[in-house]
Amino acid sequence: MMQEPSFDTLASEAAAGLRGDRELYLEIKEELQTHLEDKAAQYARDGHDEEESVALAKQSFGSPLDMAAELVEANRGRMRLRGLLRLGFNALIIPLAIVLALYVGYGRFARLQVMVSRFNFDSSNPPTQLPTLPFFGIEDYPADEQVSTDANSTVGKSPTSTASAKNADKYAVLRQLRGNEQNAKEIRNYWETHRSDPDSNIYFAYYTLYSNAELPAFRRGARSAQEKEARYVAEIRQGEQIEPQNALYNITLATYYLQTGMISKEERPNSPEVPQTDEVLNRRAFELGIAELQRAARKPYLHTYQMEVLAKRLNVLPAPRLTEDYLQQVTVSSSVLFPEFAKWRSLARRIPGCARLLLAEGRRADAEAVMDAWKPFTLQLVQDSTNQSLIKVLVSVAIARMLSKSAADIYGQLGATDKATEARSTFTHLEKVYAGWQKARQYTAGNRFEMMMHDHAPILTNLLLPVFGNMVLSVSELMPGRMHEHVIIEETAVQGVLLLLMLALLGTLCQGVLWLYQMRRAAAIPFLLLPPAKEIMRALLLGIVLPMAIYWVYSRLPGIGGREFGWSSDMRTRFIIEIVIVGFIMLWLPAFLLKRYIHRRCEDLGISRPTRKEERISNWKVRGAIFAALLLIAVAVVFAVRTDETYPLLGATLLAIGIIYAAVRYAVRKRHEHGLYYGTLARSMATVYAFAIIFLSLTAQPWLLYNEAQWLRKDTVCFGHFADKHQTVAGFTPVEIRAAQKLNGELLAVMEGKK
Amino acid sequence: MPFNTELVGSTVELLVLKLLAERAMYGYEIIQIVNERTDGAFNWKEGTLYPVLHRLEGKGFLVTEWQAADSGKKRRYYKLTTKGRGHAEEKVAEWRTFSGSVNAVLYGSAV
Repeated sequence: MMQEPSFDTLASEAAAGLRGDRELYLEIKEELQTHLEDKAAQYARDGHDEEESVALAKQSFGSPLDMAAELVEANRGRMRLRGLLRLGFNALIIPLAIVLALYVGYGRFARLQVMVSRFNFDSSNPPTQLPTLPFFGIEDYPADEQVSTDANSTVGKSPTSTASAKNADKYAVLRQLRGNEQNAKEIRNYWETHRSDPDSNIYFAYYTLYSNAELPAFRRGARSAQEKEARYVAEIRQGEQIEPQNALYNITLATYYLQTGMISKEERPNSPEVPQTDEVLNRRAFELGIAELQRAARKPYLHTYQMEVLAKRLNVLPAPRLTEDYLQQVTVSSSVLFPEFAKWRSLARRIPGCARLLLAEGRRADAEAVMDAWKPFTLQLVQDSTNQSLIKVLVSVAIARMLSKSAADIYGQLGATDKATEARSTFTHLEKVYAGWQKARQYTAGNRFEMMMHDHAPILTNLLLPVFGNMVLSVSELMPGRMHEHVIIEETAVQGVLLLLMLALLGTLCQGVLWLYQMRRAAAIPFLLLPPAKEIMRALLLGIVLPMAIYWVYSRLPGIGGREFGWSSDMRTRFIIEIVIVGFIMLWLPAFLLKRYIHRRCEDLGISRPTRKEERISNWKVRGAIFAALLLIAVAVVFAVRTDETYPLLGATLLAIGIIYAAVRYAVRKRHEHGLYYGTLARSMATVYAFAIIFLSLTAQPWLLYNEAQWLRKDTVCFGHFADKHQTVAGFTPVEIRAAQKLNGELLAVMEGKK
Repeated sequence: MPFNTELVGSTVELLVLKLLAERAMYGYEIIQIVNERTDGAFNWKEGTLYPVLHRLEGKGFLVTEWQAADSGKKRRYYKLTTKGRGHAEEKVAEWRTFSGSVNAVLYGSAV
């Protein structure tokens, strides 16, 4: 006898035409089955026995095949639309989410990598350079090989003959004017190529700062030290011919000769075992150095052209926008502004030594003439420090103090009383200037100011401000830097959330595939539930937009949000807790909300799922196994490091893989009867993770980057200065320049005898 | 008296919309109410009702929601959307005009 079909079979047959849409099929099958059960129950209430009731319900249902055809016709449009939505989600939304997450992650990584590679000065070992992406900070420059080819092709041609030659030329300015000795030759070549330019003297001056007699160009083929020296001296004399009024070339030669010809006691290590004496090492160089020093003192000015070089180099850089851009500009500035200090200090220390040596030799007139160079030299230095970095002004102050004090002593020994008095008076004024600066540096407000800085300044300002010295800044002046710091931390947190969302997305996709594979024989294919737009919006709004908005508003509320405090303050713990909580909510809440919807739908569709207890036990067993495996690896790593043995590590890793494999196998076997539920859950949860990634990547990330750029532009303490392409000062930040100009103004007034 | 299938078929959509305008109902409930109100004259089958319900759902006139009865049994309830409510009113007005016209021919008045 043929067995009567059950309600389930009957409903399945009627809904069979909808199998292409698993969700719709299950829903309608469940609906029809419920209908049949209701009908049978009605027959039972009408007095039929159970068997009769069921039979009558089936009989009145009619032909399932006719019904199936009708249902397919009725649902055709809907099925097509839902099919397109699924395809769109699988083929567009998920790949888009993955691409965006990778874009954001890679974009940030490439920014850092390019920045680091930009400052690699080791030309023999050029770093691998990753291409940067639009929208993320530093623009990329031509590869080194391209630059070198293009730069060579411009030699002897007009640098603006073609667009590519122009770009290469601009890049060459950036690259070849980079201040270090290895680049001296390149800088000279650059001058050679551009010697007809009206400002070619800038390039030669810059070359002079970085050249010395030991460069390969002077050493190569030289038969003697004299020949090498002659080449070097001829080179510097060329500079003197280019700009005869500039003392730079004579100072450079004086420094070279005196470094070769003598040693002053100021140069000796301050140790009781080392005799604190001056000594002539090479009479000829000593005499030539003195002569060169006196020639320099007669020149009307000293111009190092660092400001001009810096402007040229900064102008070929893209306009700074994000932190890395500004840091690059800071590094470029440092490389231009700092290097010549050692030469000036070295020369300054030798001037009193020269005078003392000449005095000891009884050449009193020569000694006085050498000592007379102290003031023009110092004045030239101070004048060249105008609108320069604070550190250059500080070096000038140190040199002026040292030379004025030495001059007073030596003039005293020479019996030049007027000069001694004048030098002593200058020294006294300089001491006042210096003491004033030092006093301001200790902050008149004392510890209270330091506490204020600790609480309200960003970390970078706390590092920089002690250098700036006499700057007492207000909380509001510190605000842009502080907000920039907060934004950077928030960006990092968003990137962390994006990374975790990406891992969750990939995890759910992998689980979905696993369950598809597992359930293929059971014909219970896990499917992607299509949550209504309302559910997705709710999950995103409540789970991401709302926590983010609440955090944004709350954190920016004056007096409550704590943004008047920096990360170095005691508020740091609170900031970390806030960010962790918001990040956790953004990760957990959307998933929780959508999971609730999926659970509900699974119940509606008759998909059986484990009890909470079963699920919890199974989850903990798997997590426990994975934790144990990781712990095992960690212990093995420690052991391997201590014993210098890698075999335990290898063994532990293999064992850990085995444990994890066994745990997953266990989970799969244990959960097999609910495979349809787990698979559907995994595939459907991918929806919320994908949308969350897209949403965060397209809203929070650009918004934070925009904020970063805005705060950087407003920051006058740490950055800000470089955003102005028309700057006429060669410092680092407006606040630093303020300090430098004030100190340099006082210094100049003393040196010009106005004080 | 069994009615002509086409005549019955043309009124299903109207009656479903009108009933759902009263409150949300599940499929079996709709069939029961129709049978009750027509005193068994309209003996709707599953194949009559469900394709119409699904078509209306596909057009956005209805939304569904699974709700548990007091017994705990879950049923799929259909509810009119705002668009569906407007459509129901149109259909009722159309029927009123149509039946009035038919009555006018048959009985000399639109009653």
